[in-house]
Amino acid sequence: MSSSSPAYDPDLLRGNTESMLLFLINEHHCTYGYRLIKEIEERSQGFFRFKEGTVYPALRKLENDGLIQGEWQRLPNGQERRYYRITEKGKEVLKERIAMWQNFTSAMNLVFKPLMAGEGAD
Amino acid sequence: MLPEVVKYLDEVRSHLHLDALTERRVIGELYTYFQEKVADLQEQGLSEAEATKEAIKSFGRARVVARLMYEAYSKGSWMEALIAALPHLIVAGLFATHLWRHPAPALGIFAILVGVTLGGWWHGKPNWLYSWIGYALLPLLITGFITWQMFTQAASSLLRGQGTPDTILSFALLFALYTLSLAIITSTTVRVVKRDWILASLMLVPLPILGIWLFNTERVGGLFQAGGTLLYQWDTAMASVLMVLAVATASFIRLRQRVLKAGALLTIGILAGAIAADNIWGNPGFLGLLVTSLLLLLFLLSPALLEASIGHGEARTESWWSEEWLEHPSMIE
Repeated sequence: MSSSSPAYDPDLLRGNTESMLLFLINEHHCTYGYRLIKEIEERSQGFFRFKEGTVYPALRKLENDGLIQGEWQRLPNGQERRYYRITEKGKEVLKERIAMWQNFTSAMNLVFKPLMAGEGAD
Repeated sequence: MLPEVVKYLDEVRSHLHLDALTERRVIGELYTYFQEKVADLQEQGLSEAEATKEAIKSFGRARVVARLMYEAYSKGSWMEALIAALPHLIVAGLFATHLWRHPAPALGIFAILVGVTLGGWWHGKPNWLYSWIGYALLPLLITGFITWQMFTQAASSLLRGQGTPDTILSFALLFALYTLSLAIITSTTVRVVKRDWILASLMLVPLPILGIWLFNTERVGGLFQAGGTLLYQWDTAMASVLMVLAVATASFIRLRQRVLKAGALLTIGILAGAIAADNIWGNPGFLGLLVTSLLLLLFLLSPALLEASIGHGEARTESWWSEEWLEHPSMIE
């Protein structure tokens, strides 16, 4: 699925990166930056291609807004890694964003229905 | 750690413009990313050099990462915006009530300004601190201004051959005091510029306005002339201008993007200075206002020029990049 240039408007991804991160952090309960990057890449089957350095500012923004909480944890090899957990406020915001996304995609599907029905007929 | 990654992270750090502790925390987290990414790529069969190159490429341009990180950290809360605006409001209050000529309240207020500044300086230098530093430097600016006048008088006495041991002693003391005031102002400015020139401009923005006012007080007899009600004639204008600066400072703290912060600061700083000059000098004319505005612009941009020559942040010492803190970033929290 991956190609040299993304097959979508990059603004669409930029606008939804925080929601994706919030969703994955909620699912994992406790996770870290690099794992989130890999998870997004794997789940989208390489469709979402973004500069990985943009994930860390997004995490910091979520933390600033009180939606996630980060803390350093020591690994067995002695090194430290910053882990993130979703907060109660984050869970509420995530619920709203998922509902908003579902409503949006449903409406978009309704708008595009004639086109998709046409493609089906082809 | 590979030198390419250190070089890359140092480039990110040099554009972060955050306080030293936050910069270390950010770099510490990015360091863990590179360790994991490079290890992953090596498992996929790439050499260490190839893996490092690929990891840096996939992370994005250092300047862009630094800018996004700055924007994530730079927006202050409403409380921080209020605290940052407070010194302007306090000094505006001094002018509005004419209390600035009464020693007790004036000295009390300056003691508070200096106390809060020192407290903030030694407790992590938060973003709201920089507007306070500007006013904390004001007594030094006034001291420098007065001692310079006294110094030139003492120097002319000495040159005319009227130097007594008292004159020579006062000459030496005044010179030392003047030099000390300038040295403190300069070293503070340089230290703030090393953090971020925009914060240095925020710190310096009230000084030209107060400087215009201070020089003008000389025209009506000087700052300490007895019973000079003439000195109060500019108080309303000064209070209004400082209120405008308070609003600009609060906006500065709340804005995320550097370009907007700089734009707001320069525009309002120049406007406020021009309004102060117009009120105090009494219609200096279009050319006068234009020259004043250009000088203000140059003054407010001078920290940027200074930063271009001295660089940003701490020196790139080996200890800054030691594996110990890179692998244990919680040590620095």
